[in-house]
Formats: sequence, C-alpha cells, structure tokens
Amino acid sequence: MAKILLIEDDEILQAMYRKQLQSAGHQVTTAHDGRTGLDLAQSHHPDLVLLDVMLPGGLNGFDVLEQLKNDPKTKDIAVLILTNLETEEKVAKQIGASGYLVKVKTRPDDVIAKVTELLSKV
Amino acid sequence: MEPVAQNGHFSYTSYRMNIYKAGVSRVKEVCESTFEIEFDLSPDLIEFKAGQYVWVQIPKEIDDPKGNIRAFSIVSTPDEKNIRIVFRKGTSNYKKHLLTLRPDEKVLIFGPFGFLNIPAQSDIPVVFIVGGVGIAPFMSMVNHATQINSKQQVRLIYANSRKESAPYLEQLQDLKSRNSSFDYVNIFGKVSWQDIEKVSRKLRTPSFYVLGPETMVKSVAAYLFKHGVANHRLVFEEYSCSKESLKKTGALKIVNDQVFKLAVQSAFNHIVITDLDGTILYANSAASHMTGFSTLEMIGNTPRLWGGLMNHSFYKNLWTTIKAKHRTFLGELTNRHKDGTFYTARVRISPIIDSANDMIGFIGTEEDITKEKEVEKLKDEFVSIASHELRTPLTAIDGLISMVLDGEYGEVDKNLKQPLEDVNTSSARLIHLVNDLLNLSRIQAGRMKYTLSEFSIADVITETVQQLEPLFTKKGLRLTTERLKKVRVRGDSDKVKEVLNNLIGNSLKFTDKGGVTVSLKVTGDKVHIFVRDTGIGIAKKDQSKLFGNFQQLESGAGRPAGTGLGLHISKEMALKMGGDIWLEKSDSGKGSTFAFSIPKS
Repeated sequence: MAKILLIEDDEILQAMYRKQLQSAGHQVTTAHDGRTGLDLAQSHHPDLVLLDVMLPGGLNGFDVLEQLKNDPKTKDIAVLILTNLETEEKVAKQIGASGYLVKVKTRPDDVIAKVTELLSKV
Repeated sequence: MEPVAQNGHFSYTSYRMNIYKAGVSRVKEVCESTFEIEFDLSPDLIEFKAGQYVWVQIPKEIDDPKGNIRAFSIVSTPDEKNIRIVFRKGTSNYKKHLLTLRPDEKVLIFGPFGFLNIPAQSDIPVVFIVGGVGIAPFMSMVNHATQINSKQQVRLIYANSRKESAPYLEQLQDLKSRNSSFDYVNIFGKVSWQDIEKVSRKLRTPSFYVLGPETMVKSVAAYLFKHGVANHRLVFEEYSCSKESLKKTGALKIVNDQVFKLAVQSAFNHIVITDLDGTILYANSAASHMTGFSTLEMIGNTPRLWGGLMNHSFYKNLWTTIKAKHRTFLGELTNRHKDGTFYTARVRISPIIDSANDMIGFIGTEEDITKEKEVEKLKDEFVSIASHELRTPLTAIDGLISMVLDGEYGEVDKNLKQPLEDVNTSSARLIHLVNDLLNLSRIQAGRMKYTLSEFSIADVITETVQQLEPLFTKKGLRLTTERLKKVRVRGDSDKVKEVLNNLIGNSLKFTDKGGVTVSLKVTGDKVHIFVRDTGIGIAKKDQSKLFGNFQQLESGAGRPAGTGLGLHISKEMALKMGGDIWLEKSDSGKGSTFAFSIPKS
C-alpha cells in the first residue's frame, strides 16, 4: 500500500526484493545507482527508500543518504539501509537512516516486517 | 692439542677459557728469589701448553692493592694435570700468600690464554701490540721459537702504564741485538694510532696480534678496523683482572675463532654478535647486505644503527627475555636500511653462555620477511573481499528459495518441496560459513573492531532469546531464561549478541528433546552467563579441543556438522572484551553448560 523506492545495483537481488515488496502490496520503483535513485526520490516522492551501500557510479549509499536528509523535499522520507556490510550501523543511524539490515542475515519475511514497522511510524 | 686452523701466517690453537680449581703441589726455589710453583689441577685434564699464560686467583681477601689475581706464563706441564709457573719473589702480599698456600687451599686458575707460533717459513710481517702483562706470552712465544725467522719482520709495540714497571726490557734489548729482523718500541701510556702507524708503515701488509687489557684491546681493535685492516690479519686477546671483564672477553674470543668465522661468515641469514652491552663485535656479510651497512660500520656500534624503531615495551620485553630470563627472544620488527627504506624482519636473539654458565654476549639472527608480510596482507584482503562478494549471490539463493517455498511464485509441486528445503538449509549453512571466514580473517588481521559501551546484559539476553525462539519452537524445544538480574556490563553489545547466538545456536544443534536455559550470575567484578542444554553432551576426551581453530568432534550418527570456527571466534571476542569463555559442565548424554564472562561496568 505504500510507494517504495528500491536502490540496489545487483539485478537478481533487485528483482527479488521487488517481488517481495509487490507481494506485500507495495508499489515499487527501482534504480541501479545513486544518481538515478536521488532523481527518482525527487520526482516520485516515495514513502520509504530501501538503500544499498555499495553502489556504482561514484555515489555510495551513505552519500545518497546524506543528500536525501539534507534536501528539505526528501528529508522526511524513511530510509532503510539494506547492505552486506556489517559494521556501519552506527554511522548510518547517525546520518539519519531509520533502519539497518544485513542482507545475507535477513530472510524475506523479516525484510517485509521491518518495512511495515517503519511505514507505521511515518 | 693440534693447531685447529692456519691462515697462512699464524697457526694457533682454538681454545676455550675454563676455570679450574687447583692446589699447590710443589714449591721450589730455582735460584735467588725466583720460585717455581707447581699447581695440581686434577681431576681435570688440562688443555694447557707451555708458553700460554693463566690467571691465578687466590680466593680470599688479601691486603694487596693490585687485588688477588695475577697472570703467569706456563713454563712447563710435567704431566697432563699439572702446570708450573715461575716468578720472581717480590714484596707483594699476593706473592707472599701464593708461596705459603697449603695443598688443600685451592686457587682458581683461569685460562689458557695466548699461544702463538711464529711460523718458521712465513715472510708476512707481524706487529705485536702488547700491553702490560701481555708481554709474558710474547716472551714465552719468542723463547719457544728457535729464532725469529730472518725473512720475517717482527715488531713489538710494548705499552705500559708505568715506565718503571716494565719487565723483560733487558730480554727485549737482547732479542733485538741478536735478530736484525726484530725491533720494538716501548710506550708509556695509551697506544695511539700514530704509534701503530709509525711502526707498521714500512711493512708490507702486516698482520697484527693484539694482547692486553680489555680497554687497550678494544681501542686498538677500533683503530685497526677503521683503517681497513682485514679480519684475517688480526688476532685479539683480552685479559683483565676482574671476573666481570673475563666474562666480557668471552664473546670477543668466539668471534675471533677461525672455525667460527668460516662457519658463520657465509651463512644465509644476517648474524650479529654483541657483547653484554649490545656493542657489535661481529657481523657477517648477510647482515651487511640486509642492513646496507658495512661490517666496519657495524662493529663497535649497536644494532640501533638499523633498528630502534619499535616502541618502548617491545625493547623492555626483549631485554627481559634475554638478560633476565636467559631465553631466546623471537619477534618481528621494522628496520631501516642504510639507504632509508624500511623493511620488516623476523629476529631471534639468544644469550651466549660459556662453559662456566656465565652469559658473555648475545647472538642475533634476522630474516627479511617484508615480502612474506605483503603476501599475508594481500591474502587477508582477498579473503575479506571474497567473503564480502560471496554474500550477494548467497543472499539471492537464500532469499529466493525461501520465497519459492512460501508460494510466492505459485504452488510448489510436492516433489520439489523436500529438495528445495534442503537447498534452503544448505544455503543457510553456506552463509554461516562465509560469515565465519570473514570474521576469522578479520581477527587474524587484527581488524576486528570493538566498540565498548555500558549496557544491561539482561536486555541483550532477552533480545537474543526472542530472535531465536522461533527456531526452537520449530524443533519442538524450549528456550527460556531464568534469574536475569538487572546488572550493567561493559563490552561490545553486538559481539556479546554474537557469542550468545553462537552458544545458543550450538545448543539448538545438539539438542533433540527438552531445551535450553540462559541464566546469569554476578561473580566479583564480572558477570557470568550460562547456556545450559539437555542435549547429547560432549565426552570428556573431546573437551580440550573445543575452542581451537577448526575443531570439530568426529561426527557420529545424528551429530550435525558445523564449521568448527564458532567457538574459536567466540573465545577471541570474549577475551578481547576482558572476559573469557569455557565449558562449565558436560558429559556424553548428559547435556552441556557453556559459560562466558564479561566485566561489570
């Protein structure tokens, strides 16, 4: 029931998360890199952004997160970091992420559960 | 004793300085005020020869300003257990004592020192630089040679601290008048390079034999090395009045031993020998090659020439190990080549102990491991990157199979259910293995980050239990907590969760009925957390292997496999946080209780 922006560069994972989110009833827009993701955040006004950290093209997930939080138009959008880096949770939360999940340790239902939890807080 | 080595112009025996207990067996007055004393060294078999000299120490307080030890030349060795020395009776208390010793009053004899043949056929010029009592062996030597070979130029620099007390001057004058190829100069005071240069300048590449007190030998050696006199043209002998200095000279004797030089000079590894103060006495060519400094630059200097770059506690540990504990120090350090570049070396430093069990110096070997370290670093980085890269496809496999089994892609044919579930289990295990590899490589590279904070341990336990409960329910087992007192601890909460996950996860794996209970207890300044299960237990014989790397108990029937890294990683983490982890209680068929501790805040 919500608009979700998924920024993830791996094709297969992108398709997987999109399917999970669509099954749960959400509308999903996708991007492969930070630049495109930021543009889509501006144009589509999603309710939640699922953000990978290791991204191609010069902007990594933390850069994107920072820019989202610095722009008055996008600063209130909840951001859930979806990454395989285990050690950066505190940094991410400091920059303004609302959640931090380690992909390889989180099963699909748990991803959906967290999304639901964050959407309910908006 | 046969000569051990000959280097063309000197032939001499290799010897070891020993200390003997001896009693006087005979005193004879050979002529007016000249006495001959025979010392009985039995039951030791002596290695002395006439012409060598020894130090004789009377082991009691005697009122003599020169102390209780003197050097004497050995005149003869009537059988292998006795030596005879001759001296002129003087006014010294020492000599008085010596003449009145009873046979049961033992003296200490140090030696042998000094014995050289002036070879009959050689024509290489020789310069003897002799200080004080060192003249005695020189005279012994000369007296034993039939005559000084007329082809060979022999010079003597005879240094004395006091003009009046120079013995043998008459004999020297006599020797000079009988041999046109011999000359000597008597010097009062310290031997200078000018003295040496003046005497040796007219000789064609002479060899040098230096004998005298430690200070004299060291300073003459320094001049000779500095002026490029090659190692094989030098022989040194030191002697001194105190046992301390006798100890110090031991190392110098070793490095002058020809056999030693042959063996060590061309060794593959950097080898350096120092005296007890760390002054370099010897360095082989590999050492020179590795450090960039020539042996001349190194001798007389200390290893700080290319080292000294580590922190204070490193050196403290080094000295304690070799000096206080007399043990070999093994470590890795950073060195600086003469050209300024840095390299990493594995170093082993051992104390050199002589036959009297005294420490006389140190021997250090170094191996350049810069390449090795680079490869290790690359390996660590590779494992780290690979482990991370592996996570992406693993996430996909694990996630997609879960979704297929959940019916996201349509109803699953019942024939496919089991194999897909097996794939799911396998991928979960694979993820676990990759995690362990990544953790292990981080631990080994020292890159595991610990962020310490204060938190309630009960909260962390409750949270972890909540997360793991569904897995227990699925297997029909209980997961409970008891007596969770409100106490705060200091540690990295994520790592504590990992340890709990590991222990509870292990219990889950090895339990088929009953369940797992987590409890805690405050013990002194630490909090102990217990994970108790009603599982299959661990046999006593297997218990010692639990926390090692890749330890896995032999899989019996129904025993699930693990990566074998979990407990090892948990132990590292517990230790790093100031706690520990152990098996509290267990036996075959009786369940297990694991425990770990963490400091109270």
